[in-house]
Amino acid sequence: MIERLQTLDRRWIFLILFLAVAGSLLFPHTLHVAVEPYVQKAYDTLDLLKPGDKVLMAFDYGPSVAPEIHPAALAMLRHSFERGAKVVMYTLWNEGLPFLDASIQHVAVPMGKRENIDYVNLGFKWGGLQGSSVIEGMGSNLKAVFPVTHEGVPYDQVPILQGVKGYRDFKVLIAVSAGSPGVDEYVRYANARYSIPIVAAVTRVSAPKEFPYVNGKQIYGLCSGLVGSAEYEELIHHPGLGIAGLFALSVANLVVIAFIVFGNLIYFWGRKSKKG
Amino acid sequence: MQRQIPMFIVFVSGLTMIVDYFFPRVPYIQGAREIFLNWGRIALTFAMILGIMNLLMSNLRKVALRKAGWIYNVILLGSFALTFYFAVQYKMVPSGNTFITHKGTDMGSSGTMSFASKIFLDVYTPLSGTIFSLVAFFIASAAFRAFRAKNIEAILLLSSAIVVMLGSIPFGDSLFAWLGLEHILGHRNFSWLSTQIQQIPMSAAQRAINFGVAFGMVFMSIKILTGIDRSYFGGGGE
Amino acid sequence: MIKRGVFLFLFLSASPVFAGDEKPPMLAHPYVLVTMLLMIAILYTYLLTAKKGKLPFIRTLPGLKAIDEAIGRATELGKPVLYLSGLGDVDNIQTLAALSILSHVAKKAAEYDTPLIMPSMYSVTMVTAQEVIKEAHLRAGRPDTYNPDNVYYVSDEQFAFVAHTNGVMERMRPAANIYMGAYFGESLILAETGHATGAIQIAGTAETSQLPFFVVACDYCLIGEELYAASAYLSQDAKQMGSIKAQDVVRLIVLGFILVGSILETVNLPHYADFFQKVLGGG
Repeated sequence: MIERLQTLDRRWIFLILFLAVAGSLLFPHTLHVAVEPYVQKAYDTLDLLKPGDKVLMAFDYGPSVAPEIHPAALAMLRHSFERGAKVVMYTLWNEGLPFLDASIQHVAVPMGKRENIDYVNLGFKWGGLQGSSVIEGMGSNLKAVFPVTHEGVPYDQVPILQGVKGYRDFKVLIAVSAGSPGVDEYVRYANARYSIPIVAAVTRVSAPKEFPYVNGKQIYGLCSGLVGSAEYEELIHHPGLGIAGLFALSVANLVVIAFIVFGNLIYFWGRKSKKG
Repeated sequence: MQRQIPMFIVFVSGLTMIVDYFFPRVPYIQGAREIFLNWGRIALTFAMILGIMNLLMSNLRKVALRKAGWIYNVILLGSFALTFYFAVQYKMVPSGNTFITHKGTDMGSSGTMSFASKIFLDVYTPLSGTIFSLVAFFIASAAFRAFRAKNIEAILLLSSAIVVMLGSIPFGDSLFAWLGLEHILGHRNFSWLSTQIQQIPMSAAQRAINFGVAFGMVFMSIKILTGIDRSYFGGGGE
Repeated sequence: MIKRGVFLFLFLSASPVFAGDEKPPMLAHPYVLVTMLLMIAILYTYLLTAKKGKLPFIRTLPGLKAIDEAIGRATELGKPVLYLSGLGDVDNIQTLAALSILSHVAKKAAEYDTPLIMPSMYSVTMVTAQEVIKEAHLRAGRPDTYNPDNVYYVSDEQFAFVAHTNGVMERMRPAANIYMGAYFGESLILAETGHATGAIQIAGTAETSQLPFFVVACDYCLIGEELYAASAYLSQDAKQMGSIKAQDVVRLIVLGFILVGSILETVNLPHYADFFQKVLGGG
C-alpha cells in the first residue's frame, strides 16, 4: 500500500488538479482580493498621471501567457485612459499584435477614445535578434524605429506623436512582458539610460527575477501573473478576467498544497513502518 | 584560414560596435555599424529560409522512408502548407485593425476575420495555452515528489513554499485568521509573510546569482571577441 | 565558412547601439569604458600567469562531471542522448555557452558512437550546432558517424518547439537529456517529461527564475555563472582557466564596493550610493 502511494502515478495528480480547476471554473465564486505592495505601487504610479500626459505601452507577450497578463494589460490601459493620459502602443513580439488590437477594441473604443489623438497603435517592430538595439534606439529616436503607425499613417502626421522624440517625452512606460525582449531590456536600456519610470506586468513564474529591480526602484510597480491582474482590476474597480480566474487559481494552489502535505504524510508513514 | 577569417570578422565587427558605443562621433562609425546590422538582418532572413527548408526536407524524408510515426510528419507538412497558403493569400497581418474585428466579447468567438487569423486565434492560441498550462500539472507532480521534510533545509524550503503559495491567494489570509495566527503576529497575515520572504531572502539570493551571471556574461563576451573561446563554433576551445 | 560568417554577424549585430538625432557626446559612456578596460587588464594579467603554467584551481562542477557518466549510460543502453541549447538565438550569450558545452558532449558521444539528437528552435543555432558537432566528430576521429539529420530545426515558436521535444522524449526515450542555455516558461515541462521517461538529466541555465524547476526535476544543475565557466572547466585550457580567475578577482572588487556601500548606507552616508546612482544612471 505504502509503496504504491509513494510511487503514485502522476496522472492521478493531473486528474485531480484538472477536476479541481474545471470545477471551480464551472462554479465560480468571487473572492475578496488583498492587494500586494508591488501592485499597489504600480497603481499609484499610473494614478499620478494627469490629463494629456503621454504613456508608452508595450505588449510583448503571446497567446500562451495571455490568460495571466492580458487582463493586467487591459486594466492598466483602462486606468491610464481614466486618468486622461494619451497612450502610444506597440509590440516587439509578432504574437503580441492581436492582443494589442484586442486591447484597443475592448478598452479604447468603448471608452470613446480617438485613434491617433488619444491613442496610437505603432504596430509590431521585430524585437528578436536586435531587441536591445530597438529598445535603446527608441530612447532618442522613436520615429526612426516606427516611421509609420500600424495603419500606415506617417509619424509626423499623427497628432499624439507631435513633439515626441523618445522615452523622455513619456511619463511612464508600461511593459507587459512575457520574456525577451521585454522588461529586463527596458530596465537595462530605457530606465538606466533615459530614467523613464517603468511599470510592468509579468508572468508569475518570471516575477521573482524582477523583484530586485522593484526593490532597487528600477521598476516602479509590478503585477505578477493572474493574481497581479486581479489585484489591479480590484484597484480600478473594474472586475475582468483576472478576478474571474482567481477562484480557480486559489483552488489549484490549495490542491498543490494538499499534495505536498499528502506526500509528506506518506513519507513519514513510510519511515515509521521501515523503523517498525 | 577557415578559422582566421571568421575570427577576423568577429574582431572587426565587434570593434566597430565597441567604438560606436563609446565614441559615437568617430567618422563613418555609425555607417559601418549600420552596414553590419543590415548584413545581420539580411543573413537572418536567409537563415529563416534555411530553417524552413531543413524542416521540410527532414519531414519529407521521414514520410518517404515511412519511418515510425510518419503520420505525424504528414500532419506537420499539411498544417504548414495550409497556414502558409492562407497567410500568403489573405496576409497574416494586414495593416489596420482588421486583424481581429471584435463584434463579440471574446477573442476569436465572433466577428469578421481572415482564415489565417482564425488559424492563429482558434488553433494556435489554444494549443499554445494548452502546452503552457502543462506547467501547472507538472508543478503539482514535482511538488508532490520533491517537497519532503527530509532535513532542516528541506523543512525551511517546504514551509516557505507553502507560505508563499497561501500568501498569493485570498484563501490564505482567511485561513490565517481562522487559525488565530493574526494575534500572534499582530495583524499580519500570509500575504505579509509571503511578501517578506520574497522581498528579503529571495531577493538577496536572486541578486547574488544575477551578479555571478553578469560577470560570467561579460567575461564570456570578452573571451569571444578576443578569440580566447572559440569552442562555440566548433572545437578551438579544446 | 559562410555559415560561420552569418552566425558571427548575427551575434555582433545584437550589441546595443547608440542611435538618435541628438548630437552624441565625444565619449558616450566613460565609466563603462574605464570598468571594461580594467576588466580586460585583469583578464590579461591572469592569462599571462596561466600561460606561464600557473593554472588556477577550479572547484569540481558535479553537473559537468556527470556528462561523461550520462553519455556512458546511454551507450550501455543503446539509446540516444538529447541535447538542447535553450530557447535563445545566437545573440544570447547563454546559447554560446551551451554551444561550447555541446562541443565537448558531441566529442564524447562520437567517441562512444552514441547518437546525439538536437532539435533546434532557431535556424542559425541549428547550422552552428551542425558545425560544432561535425568538428567534434572530426576531433574524435569519427567523421563517418556524423549525421546532420540529428540536428534539425523545429519551430521559432516556444511551445511548438516544446511540444516536439516532449514528443521526441516520449517516442525515442533518450537515456540522457542535457539542457543548457536560456530557458523560460517551458523548463519544467521539458524536465518533468524527461524525468518521467527515466533519463539522466543535466541542466544549466543563467535564467534565475527557471533554476528551481531544473533543480527539482533534474539530477544535476549548473547554476548561473557555472554555465559560463563550463567551457573553461571542460577544456582545461590555460587561457580559459585564467579567465575564470580574473572573473573571481573582479567579483571580489565589486563585492568590496557593495560591502562599503552597505556600511555607509547603514550609517546614513548616502553620498557614495548617490555617486554610483549618478554614474550608472548616465550609462
